[in-house]
Amino acid sequence: MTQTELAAAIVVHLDALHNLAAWLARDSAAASALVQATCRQALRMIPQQLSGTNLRVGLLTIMWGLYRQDHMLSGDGLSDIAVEHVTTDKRGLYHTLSRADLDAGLRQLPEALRAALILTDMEGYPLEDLAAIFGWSKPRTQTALATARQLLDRFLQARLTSTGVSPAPELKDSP
Amino acid sequence: MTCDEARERFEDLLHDRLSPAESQSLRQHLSECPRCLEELDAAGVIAALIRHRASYHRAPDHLRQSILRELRRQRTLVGRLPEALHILWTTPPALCATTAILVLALALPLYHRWVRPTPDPAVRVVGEVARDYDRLLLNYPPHGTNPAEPMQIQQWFQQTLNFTPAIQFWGNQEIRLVRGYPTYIMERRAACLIFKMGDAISTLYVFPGADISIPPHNRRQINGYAPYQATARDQRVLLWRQGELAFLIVSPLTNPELDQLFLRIRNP
Repeated sequence: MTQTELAAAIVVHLDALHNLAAWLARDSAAASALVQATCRQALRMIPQQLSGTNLRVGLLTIMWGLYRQDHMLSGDGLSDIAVEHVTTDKRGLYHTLSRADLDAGLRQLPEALRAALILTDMEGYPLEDLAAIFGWSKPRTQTALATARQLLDRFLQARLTSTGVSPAPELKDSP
Repeated sequence: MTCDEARERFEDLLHDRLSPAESQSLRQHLSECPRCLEELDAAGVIAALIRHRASYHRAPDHLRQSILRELRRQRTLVGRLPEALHILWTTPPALCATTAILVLALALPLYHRWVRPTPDPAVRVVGEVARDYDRLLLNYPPHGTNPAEPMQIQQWFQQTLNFTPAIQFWGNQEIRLVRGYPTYIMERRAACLIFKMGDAISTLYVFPGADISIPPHNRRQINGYAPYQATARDQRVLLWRQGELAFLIVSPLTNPELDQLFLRIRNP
């Protein structure tokens, strides 16, 4: 891994880096600053430290580390959350919610869960990459994703209830 | 397949990362387990919502330009140092050359420290007193508060030295005592007296020197005494020991005059 290859990788993954930074940071200036700090740190690292690893994972690991350090996050937000799966017939109506509702739902998740969902569902990263970025085991990564989706599910159900949208009555066959 | 095993595969199924056989096995379980099916459906709905409906924040142009500028700056000479080190470390001929240079850089100082014979303490002390003498000449005549009276000098030595210099000769009409002051020789406190004989300035140094052995060669025979004699920085130096103390005279005097000064000090 040379500095040139690292620089090329940064350019290729810049959108993914910025997207995660924007979902973590409070505003666009803070997101840009986080991306720049990540790039600077990656360029300062000895190339061998990054060689042999998935570069995008390396870059995102640096970013998550910087964010945790800046915001003094000690845990991953999973330990104090216990969510039970709820059966509902409202999920078919989620498409009626606005993008702002969905974004708000994502924003209310703990940072680690939010970041994990963004990376897996938006960027399509596999579990192994997420585990490496957040320093989790594979089962813990699965639990984190399931918990994040259930929390978001619950938020969206509540949002539907508050807007008064209800599912259409089920059609029944005539006897 | 158990429910836990099925849940372990949900992520891979949602992102089409299962083999046909694994997928078939999971679907078989889902057809028999409505709870797992419900959970997978819910996860699929949320995943699809995020993928298609949530905001995606592409890097703005100004950030892209800023990053590109930073990358170009890193590619300057200083920025490419790690890359150069990487090449040095991974290219066999360069690695050999680098290793050889590193070994030499480490070995030479060690050789000079451990293998090269260390200078004789007597030679070292002669060098040090000659340097101190040079410094003294540069600042001659001495000024300031250095006392010229033997009593004052002795009091000063008592206050500042951690030993008693045992000096018997404090000057006479012919060899005048000019000043006395404490100094450091070989990282230990030392007494220094300045004498003037005609126009020649001579100094006497006294300090704890039980560890300084007097070399058997270059001895000058003076009335039954045999101090070590050396020349340093164009000055004659005599070195001898009296008990635990080392004595040195540094002087430009001729040998007969120096012998006379030595005898005054050694055997007043």
